[in-house]
Amino acid sequence: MVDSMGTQKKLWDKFKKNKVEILFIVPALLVLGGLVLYPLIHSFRLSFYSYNLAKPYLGQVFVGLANYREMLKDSSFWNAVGVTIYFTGSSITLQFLIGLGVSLLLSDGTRIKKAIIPIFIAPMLVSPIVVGLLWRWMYNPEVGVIGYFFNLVGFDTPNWLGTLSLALPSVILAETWHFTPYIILILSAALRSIPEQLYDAAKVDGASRWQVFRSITLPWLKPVLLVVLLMRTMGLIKTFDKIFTLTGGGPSEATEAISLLVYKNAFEFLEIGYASASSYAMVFIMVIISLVYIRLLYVTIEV
Amino acid sequence: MRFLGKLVSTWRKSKTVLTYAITLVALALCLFPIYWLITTSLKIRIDTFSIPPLFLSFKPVLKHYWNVFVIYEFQKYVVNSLIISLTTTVLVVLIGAPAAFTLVRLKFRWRNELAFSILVVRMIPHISLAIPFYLMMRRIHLLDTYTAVIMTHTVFLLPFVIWLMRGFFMGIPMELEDAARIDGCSKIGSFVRIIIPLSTPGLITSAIFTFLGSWNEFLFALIIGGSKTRVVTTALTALAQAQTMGVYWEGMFAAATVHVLPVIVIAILVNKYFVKGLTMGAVKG
Repeated sequence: MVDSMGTQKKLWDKFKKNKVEILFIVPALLVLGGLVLYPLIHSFRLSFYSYNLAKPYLGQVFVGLANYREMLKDSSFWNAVGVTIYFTGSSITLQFLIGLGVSLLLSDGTRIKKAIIPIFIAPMLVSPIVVGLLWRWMYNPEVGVIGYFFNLVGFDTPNWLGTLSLALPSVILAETWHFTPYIILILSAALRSIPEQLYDAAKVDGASRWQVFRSITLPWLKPVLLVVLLMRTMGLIKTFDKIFTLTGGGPSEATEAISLLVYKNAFEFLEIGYASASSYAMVFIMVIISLVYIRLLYVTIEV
Repeated sequence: MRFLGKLVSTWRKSKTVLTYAITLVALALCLFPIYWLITTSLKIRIDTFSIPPLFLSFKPVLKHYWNVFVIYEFQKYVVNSLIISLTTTVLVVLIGAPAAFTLVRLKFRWRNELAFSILVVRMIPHISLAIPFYLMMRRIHLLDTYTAVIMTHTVFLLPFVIWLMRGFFMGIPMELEDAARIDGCSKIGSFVRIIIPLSTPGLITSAIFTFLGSWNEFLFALIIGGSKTRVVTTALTALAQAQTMGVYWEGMFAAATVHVLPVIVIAILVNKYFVKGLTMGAVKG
């Protein structure tokens, strides 16, 4: 009895002692709790109902797992998953290879090269909406610049965004232009943080450029690379604005990534219940991927 | 022997030349679309649609800027963007910095899990939040208000700032605060007078990234906002669709230039904050 009173008093004392810190964090907790947790729970609940905004008289009808079952049978859903995987995989590979290449090229510390690196920020500053509109213009089949350069090397200009097989690669290219700078900047900073002594020691030991790269540069970069890969993968899966303005998901769902599918279901078909289910599928995928990455990250750090 | 030496130095020089050549190509590819954006906004219709495209040999006009701002009244949308982005920035920094401070200084049982779950919030797709948010705002009649849009922007930009400031605060030794407390400073006092000045770079970086994130945002502005709170991003897409005689590219890009150019100018001025913000947490030192 006395002991429980004692612990209660201890907690209260702890609370009083740290009044300020607790006060500091309460607003953030309120915002995140009320504006993230609550909507997510609300959305989760809705995914078990059939609710069409255009037919409010029908109200919300509990349908259990019907939305999820329909989703798994929906070819549009699996198309969206495929598009998202292809889009994310190709984009991350391209961005990573080009980003690593450019940052390695610029990594030898010369003043000019160091000054050039920040210039690469520019594409990242452009709103994804503008990126989409700009590239839509550049991809214009009659007067677009891309077509012009293509003609210069002797090919016929296709309708980039209108051709089934070319639409998604075109979107991937625009996305790569937009976000490769992110990789360049972070990798450049990471490369700069490698201590000189390691390189000097390697030189003394007579290591070749390739050996230096393999045994010093790469291991040092691994944790950074994983974080960058994680962040970018998440960003790529979430991509909406760019694709929306570039193609709107077309032609015939060729570029309809999962975020566009959810949008379409929620705000064009107004099927809130079904859209909530597919949006939760999205959340589910993101959580799995981030858990995998974080696992990898911890394993790397440990080693 | 001397021949070999010459061979090696030629190889080295050509590698340098190659490096610079590739760098130049990369820079050109990077900057050309932006150049194209700006120049298209300055062309007359005939030039815009010329085949082959005109890169330098056209006469620039300001007609489209006139059209977009006088006829389409785009400044309304710029003002809306400013209101939303500035308010969001202030809110996020005011809420996020102290929260990060608590995460770093106060030891409690679920501290790491809490920090981690705040990071997870960043992973949530915007569309997943947008649907319930839309319904919520609809119910309390807050659709198409600044308040609602600012709320959504605050929510998705807060985690980043918390993590950024957490990194900054972790780099400030506790001894400084302890010294201040011993001298009789209150907790809030030591926060305001010692911690804040020391973490100004972090605060500036947070402000920049928050502003940028809100300025460029589209989805929430589209779904939660409406015609009264239309911002530049949503106005641009509206402009792109509402055409009878084909898309008014030049005008759209004039508006887009106004949207993008200030950001680029600010970025050039404060680019070290950009790099700091992007790499914080990812890169050691």
